[in-house]
Amino acid sequence: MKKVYRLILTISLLCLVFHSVEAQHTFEGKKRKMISVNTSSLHARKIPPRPTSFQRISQSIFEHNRKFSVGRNLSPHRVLHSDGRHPAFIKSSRNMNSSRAIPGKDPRTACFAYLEELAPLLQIQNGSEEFSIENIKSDKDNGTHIRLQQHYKGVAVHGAEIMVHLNSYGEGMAFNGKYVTPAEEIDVVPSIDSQTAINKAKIDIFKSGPVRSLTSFEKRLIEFAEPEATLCIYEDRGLVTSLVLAYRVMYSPAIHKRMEYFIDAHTGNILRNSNTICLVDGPKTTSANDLNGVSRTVHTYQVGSGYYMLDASRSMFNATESVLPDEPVGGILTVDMDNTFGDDAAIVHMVTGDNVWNTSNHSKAVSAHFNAGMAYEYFLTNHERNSINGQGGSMISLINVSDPENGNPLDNAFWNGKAMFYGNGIIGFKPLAGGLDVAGHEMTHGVVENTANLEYEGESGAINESMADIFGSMMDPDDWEIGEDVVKVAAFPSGALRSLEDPHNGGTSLGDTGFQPKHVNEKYNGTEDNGGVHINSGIPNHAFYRYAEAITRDKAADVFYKALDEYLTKSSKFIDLRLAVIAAAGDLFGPTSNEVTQAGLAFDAVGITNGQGGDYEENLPENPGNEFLLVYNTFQGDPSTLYRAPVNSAAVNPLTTTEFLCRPSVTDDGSFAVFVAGDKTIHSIITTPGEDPQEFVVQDETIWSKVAISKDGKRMAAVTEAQINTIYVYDFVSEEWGEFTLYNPTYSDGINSGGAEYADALEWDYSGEFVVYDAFNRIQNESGNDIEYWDVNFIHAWDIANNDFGDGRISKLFSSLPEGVSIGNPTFAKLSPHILAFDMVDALNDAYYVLGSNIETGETDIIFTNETLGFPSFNKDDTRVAFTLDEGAGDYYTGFVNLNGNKISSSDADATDLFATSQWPVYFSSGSRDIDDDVTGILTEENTVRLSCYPNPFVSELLLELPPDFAADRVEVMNLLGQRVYTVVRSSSGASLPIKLDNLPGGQYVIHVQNGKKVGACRAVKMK
Amino acid sequence: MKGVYFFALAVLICDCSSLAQDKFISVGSGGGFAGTSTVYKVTSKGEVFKGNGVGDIEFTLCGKIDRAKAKEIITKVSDQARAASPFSHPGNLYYFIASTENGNEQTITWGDVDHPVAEEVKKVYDEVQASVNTVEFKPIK
Repeated sequence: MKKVYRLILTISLLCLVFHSVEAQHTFEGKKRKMISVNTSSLHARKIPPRPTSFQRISQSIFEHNRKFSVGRNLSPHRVLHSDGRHPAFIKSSRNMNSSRAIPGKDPRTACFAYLEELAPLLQIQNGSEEFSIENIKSDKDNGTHIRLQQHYKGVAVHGAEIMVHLNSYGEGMAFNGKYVTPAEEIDVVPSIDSQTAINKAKIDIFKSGPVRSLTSFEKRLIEFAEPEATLCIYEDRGLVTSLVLAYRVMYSPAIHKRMEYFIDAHTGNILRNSNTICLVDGPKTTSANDLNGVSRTVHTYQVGSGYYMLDASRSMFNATESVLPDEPVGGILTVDMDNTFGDDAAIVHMVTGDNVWNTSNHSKAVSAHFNAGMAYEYFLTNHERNSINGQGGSMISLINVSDPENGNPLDNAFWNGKAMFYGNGIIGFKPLAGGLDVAGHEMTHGVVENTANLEYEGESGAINESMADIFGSMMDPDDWEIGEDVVKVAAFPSGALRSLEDPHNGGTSLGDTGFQPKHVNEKYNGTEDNGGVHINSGIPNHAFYRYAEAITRDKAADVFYKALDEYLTKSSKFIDLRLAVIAAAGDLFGPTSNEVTQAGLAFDAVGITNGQGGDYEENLPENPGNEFLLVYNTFQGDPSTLYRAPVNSAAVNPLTTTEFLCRPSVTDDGSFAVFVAGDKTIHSIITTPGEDPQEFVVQDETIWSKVAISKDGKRMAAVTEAQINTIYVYDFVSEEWGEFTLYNPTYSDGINSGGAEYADALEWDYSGEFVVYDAFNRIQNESGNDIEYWDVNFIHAWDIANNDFGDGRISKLFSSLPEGVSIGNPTFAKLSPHILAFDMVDALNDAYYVLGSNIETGETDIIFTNETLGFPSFNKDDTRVAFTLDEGAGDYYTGFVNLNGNKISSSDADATDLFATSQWPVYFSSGSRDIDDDVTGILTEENTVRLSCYPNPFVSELLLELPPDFAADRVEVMNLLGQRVYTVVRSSSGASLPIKLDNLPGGQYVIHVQNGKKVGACRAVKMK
Repeated sequence: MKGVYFFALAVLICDCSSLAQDKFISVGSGGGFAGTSTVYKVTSKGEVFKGNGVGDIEFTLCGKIDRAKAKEIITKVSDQARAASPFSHPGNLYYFIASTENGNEQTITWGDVDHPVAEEVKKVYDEVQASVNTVEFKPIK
């Protein structure tokens, strides 16, 4: 029996009728109908669309291995890679002095003991039942590597193989491979026999033409002259991926064919067939000279009669998902831009007919290709990083790149967020593909983007550049110079572009070619070069050099990589780098180690001295008021719809009987909420405990679908029920509507911008400037097919500095989402304005989640695996998230989980129930806190004045307390409808300003004072 | 070749006084492995200055464009900069336009693929680049 506080204790359970709220328990349910609405009466001011940004999580979690990572400092097991559902690679740390390390432990026992240890991570029940050992191999270091096959109820799961790696003590050191966890029972008793399956396969083969009988000689040469069928569990990747009992039929009807069929063992349907003999296509190697005249072994790929500059030999390569040669997955591809640019820009494959690469153009490709492979191996071998994105994503290099501006020869190389581009040089450089450190530098920009995502500006940008130089130099470690293989000495007299050892690089001041500062006292403070990102990188570059000289280059690189991957954040400054490096050194070598000491000395030497790092994840003060929960009752036997409940109490108070179309939106002080009523008008309702829950119609057009009130209650954002890409914002002070047009500011592979059809759920951020919303998008991919999805965006709706509507710029929470994934119903944490929770639906797997994201660090994790849209809400101290859950049979209830310290994940196995037959829980607190200074950074002192009023509540007269130097030349009092109910124009400086409000009815009022651009506001309650 | 000769004659080292006193606009690009940027400044008198390098680069007067065209460019850049500034999202390769008047500069910087700038800004950028690229080889009259 669930511990549930019933909202309606007196209602008969026989009365199972629910409030007829519009169903929004799936993203499908959030879709709008084809309805036209008339908004002309709003007289809204149109705000033209203007692309730009707020903040954005740099990398989608769906591209990021952090998603399923376990606590780095808590568990010896670290997930390095996941396939989206399960860990695909786990590394385990072991204390070699541990008493449980027993040399010579039986590898079978040790293997299954390790699987048991990993069971919570792997989500498997019983390793020894689910997996059987296929083979065991030992290596020269007495390590053991065991290959296991997964079984389900005794039936082998096709393609589900895992590897367990043990050390010489029999301890599990690593796990990798692919396995499945069936979501539901699979019937393993076939409905058809094996001969029927074979016949199905044969019939299919005969459809493509007559099959000649094999000669006896031919039969001796091939394996499956007679077809063979074996039962297996097959992962069918149809529209919906599912596990199916199938026959695997192998049959060689001709000497050059070995057909593999998977036949559904219940329906007899052919699930897949393929010829598994590859005639010529596949990875090849060859030798060719690079730009420096050095013979390199390069990996190419043969498709038909052509050899492509495509490396499919690395462990990241995914043959199943690759379409070659154009769309490799996990490949290293080098292509030619052939000096095209602008609208005529074109990319062509590097291809030969004989795998001989001996032209000058080939040499560029060989250099770029070989160097990309070296860079891949460097990160994989030294930092366990699987490619640029950490997930085995393809690496693409483009050679013969011209100046994107004018098509002139490009004296540069760059990373554009997707690929590496190499110019051929002109004045300062030779073809830049010739530099291994150039490749390393550009690839590291991609790594930075996928880890700390350091902003490319100021000190964070200089750290970004420095990391690129540091790891570029690590890949080309014969000196400390950058670009020495590609610069022209006439342009760079030192023979290098930059030097970590001597950032001055032969110069004496900034004007000298190649000069960089090597100490903070030489730091460039101008605005050029995005605040000196290529200039000031010399300072951390030199710190790294000094550190490497003290503790070895490899150790220093390990520490800096860990700092980049685990400590630095988007806005990190030099001092944060120092602290991050010291922390990382402590993690790797111990807090009292020489490596920690030397890190401090290296940064001291360049003037980045000890101090407090920046806190870019500042929290707001906690609301001092009592905490409550609003929940919407769906039990129609009770006429009341919205209830207010103190947390930790069963006492509930009905607030209204009005039906809602959306969850209510409450001001930060909990004084009132707004919502869209069943008649599609916008209502407000007093939610302050102890006050009459008066309800008003704020906007009486019957067109609305969703509404959100700003935290300060001064503005609301709303969307209509029509399929129009517009968000309306109403300013209660100016009594004016603004109309914002939605658009998509970014793009993903093969998908251009555009496509935002309409918004739905809305919420204001704590700055009062941005509205976070979810939007329904319909776009066409390159194949011309419609793709529909929901995503989360931010729009600049209000400009506090100008006290006017914002410019409508939009940015996205995630730049791209994988196929079938939608996210929506976003909400901000109560204390941490950089934390969001939201719903996610993976339509391909029919899975629902409540997720949490940290905008500053780029981390996203799972808060709860749900079965419906949750409409999450944080509690007052961000220790809980409440949401809607599916009770079954079309009923819903509310519950919560406790959050971990990072506020984006939970360790609760199940939700704690709150209220039955309810949905849309919204936490709020009834108290005031100062959030402006903590969040905006925009609200400047010169434009705002602090205003307080007393007594509060008041009966007839209110005293406004003004700053001593402020003369209010206008005072206005507004009611909750935004109507001006009192105005006085006067000039009074300082002290208390009394205003008589005898004639006003009881209720909440907002008082504004103004002098020119300076404004102040406070809220007061008049007693009846 | 003749054009290059005339251009060489026309190069004057700028003491920056005309830039300091005038309303002018700047457009440029830079970044990448090299980190250098190439910047053009256009004054309301039609003077075009060019600078290339890293950091506080030195500008040289490299030619003139028609005053009416200069004013048109300045108006367009100023309008875009005023409407869109502050917008600072440089990528590894970045582009910018800036409007400077009485020492106050409004700049729009882009290049981060995740934060694309408005097409109108790009159009103005291209228009200015087209104008200054044609002026390099013209003599100053």
